[in-house]
Amino acid sequence: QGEFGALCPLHGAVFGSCCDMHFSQGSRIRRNKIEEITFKNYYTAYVTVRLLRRSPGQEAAAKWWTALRDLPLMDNPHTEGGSQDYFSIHRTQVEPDHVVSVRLILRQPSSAWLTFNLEEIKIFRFMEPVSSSHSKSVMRFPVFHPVVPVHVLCWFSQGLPDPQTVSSSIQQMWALTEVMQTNQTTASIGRFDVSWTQDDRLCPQEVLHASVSRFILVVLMFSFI
Amino acid sequence: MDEGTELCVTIGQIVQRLKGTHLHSQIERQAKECLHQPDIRLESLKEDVRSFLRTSGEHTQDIYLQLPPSHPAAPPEHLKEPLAYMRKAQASWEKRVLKSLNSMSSELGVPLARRRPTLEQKELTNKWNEMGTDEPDLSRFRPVYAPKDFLEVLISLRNPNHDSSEEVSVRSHWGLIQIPLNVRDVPQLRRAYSELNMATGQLGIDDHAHVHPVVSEQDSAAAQQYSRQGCPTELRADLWALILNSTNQPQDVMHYEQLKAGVIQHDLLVDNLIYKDVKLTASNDDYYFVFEDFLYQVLLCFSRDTAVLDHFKYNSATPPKSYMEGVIPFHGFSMYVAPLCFLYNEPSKLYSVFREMYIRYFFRLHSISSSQSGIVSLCLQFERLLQTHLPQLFYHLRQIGAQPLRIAFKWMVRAFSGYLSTDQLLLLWDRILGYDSLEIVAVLAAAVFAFRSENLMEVTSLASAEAVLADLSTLKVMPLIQIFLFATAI
Repeated sequence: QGEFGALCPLHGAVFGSCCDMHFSQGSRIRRNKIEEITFKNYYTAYVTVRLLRRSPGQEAAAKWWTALRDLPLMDNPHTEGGSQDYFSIHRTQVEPDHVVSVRLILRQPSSAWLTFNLEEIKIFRFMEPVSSSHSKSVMRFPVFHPVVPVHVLCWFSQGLPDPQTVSSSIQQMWALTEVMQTNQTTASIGRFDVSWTQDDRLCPQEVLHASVSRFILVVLMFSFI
Repeated sequence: MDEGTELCVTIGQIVQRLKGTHLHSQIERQAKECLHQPDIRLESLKEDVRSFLRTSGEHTQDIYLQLPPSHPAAPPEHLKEPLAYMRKAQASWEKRVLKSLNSMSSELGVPLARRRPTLEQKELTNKWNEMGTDEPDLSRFRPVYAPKDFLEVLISLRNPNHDSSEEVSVRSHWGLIQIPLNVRDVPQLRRAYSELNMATGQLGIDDHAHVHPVVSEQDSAAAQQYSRQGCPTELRADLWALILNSTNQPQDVMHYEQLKAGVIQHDLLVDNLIYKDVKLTASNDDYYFVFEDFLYQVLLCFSRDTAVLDHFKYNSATPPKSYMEGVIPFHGFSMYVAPLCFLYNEPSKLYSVFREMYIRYFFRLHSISSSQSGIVSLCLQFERLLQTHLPQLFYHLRQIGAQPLRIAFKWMVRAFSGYLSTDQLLLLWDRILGYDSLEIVAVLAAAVFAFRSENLMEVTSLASAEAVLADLSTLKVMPLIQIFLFATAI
């Protein structure tokens, strides 16, 4: 298994950042099969893998193709779980053949972190199995443990929560809205626009914020009546 | 790397991650039984295991996938603790403790370790069972650190990548711990601790709640499940030993005797700290003073046990290299042993149960880590529970300068030992063993605040808040936890 990817420094923008890795022209394209991509996470919540692939034997232009979309790396974007863990993406999860370039798109919806990136990125070349030596395949490590933080979402998905529930945790929501307000950023989002409303994995802070506004709106309406 | 070394590393990793699960104790017991079978020979054992792994590759892989994930690229220190800043904090704390121990050694002119003269050895052998009668002059020694010092370290913990530009007042978290770890809220706790709900019989509330003798079957998983609803007093000793897989085999007794010989031969500076700690805590306690001699025996042996060092493989801490032992006792350390004295009257058995309890649970209470049972998580969980469910109380206490954690920390760091009455404490520890987690300790701490909230709302200073919460010996643990988790509207 040869390692042929280079390390590439990534710096987090506000919501997302991306990194391209090109394979040197010297390596014959048809042999660019990837076995595994491993990396160490540093506060990236989701990673999307896009591959620039060229069909073998054709002179057609290479095409970008999304191999993996929004793979969760952290249990919850706002808390530490998975924030500094090692991960690997195995060839069974993507189809990484005839690859010219690999693009990793990183996203972090939480404003809690100052920066996020991936470290120690290594790409391993796929080797055709030579013999039936079992010793390597015995210990195939589990690759991902996706845990989507849905518990917060379920809570709000059926409309407004009941007043008692809200009152017990209203102070926390209030504090969150304060944080959201002071946290309005002017930094550019970069080339990848992130629209959270279309995503089913909403950022809990945004949900809370929206919910609080709705709650306040209802209270105001009642006071007019 | 040749196949042999690779296999060793892999096996080492698996064992490390299995350690502390009931699967581990069952495998260990099976292995012990297998050793007595005539068709297994020690000489060929290694080769047999290797060929078994090769032939049953697929099956092994299935089991392996069940284990919590770990990555082959992860360096060893990452397995101990994934967060770099936590590792750093733990390392600098250890350095500080060691430094203070070393300076105590040079100040007092007491060597860290010395060989006892023959006469002294004889003397100690004779009074092994009544070490408490000895009254050495310990006035010059002081505990290396107290829970209060450790709390200050935890409060100053920061994640360098965490945005802390806002004022503290608008922070969503009012507490002292500022590390964004993931802790469970009440609905999640309700699901995780479903056996504690009101409808299920609990020992400690109902008598004859559930009687199902699992001891005879020697099934530690069943014993663990059973323990979630509390152990009857007469069965507790056996059940705990079963869960912890401390079977007190002849080799365990022998190991204890070896440690005892070590105590008799060598005198350590740490011994004085142990003496001092027992005198300061357990000997002054109404429940535990009778066990003074037991405590010396167990703790002195513990300080010399190299098997204890194994837990550093999965603990964020690293063992001090400069002398024989691994764990530096702090003020109140002996209270981890004291309640166990009610269960086991044979020193070797008591010792092996305590050691197992320590390397599974108690070490987490005084080392900095991001583990869910770690003290940082417990503190955060306590504060979150209190803030979410008793915001008024939290706000009031914060305003008068009585941060709740400053009061509750001493309870949690000792897992409530020495604060609750012993029957209640053992009921609490039943649940720690049953759920294989210390989380319940944080829940109880929050429940105590909830229970005394009316009185606490009237206090105006930290001292009076402490006075309200000074005596917990009349509290009943299980009703408090149940009311807090299951009967409070959220």
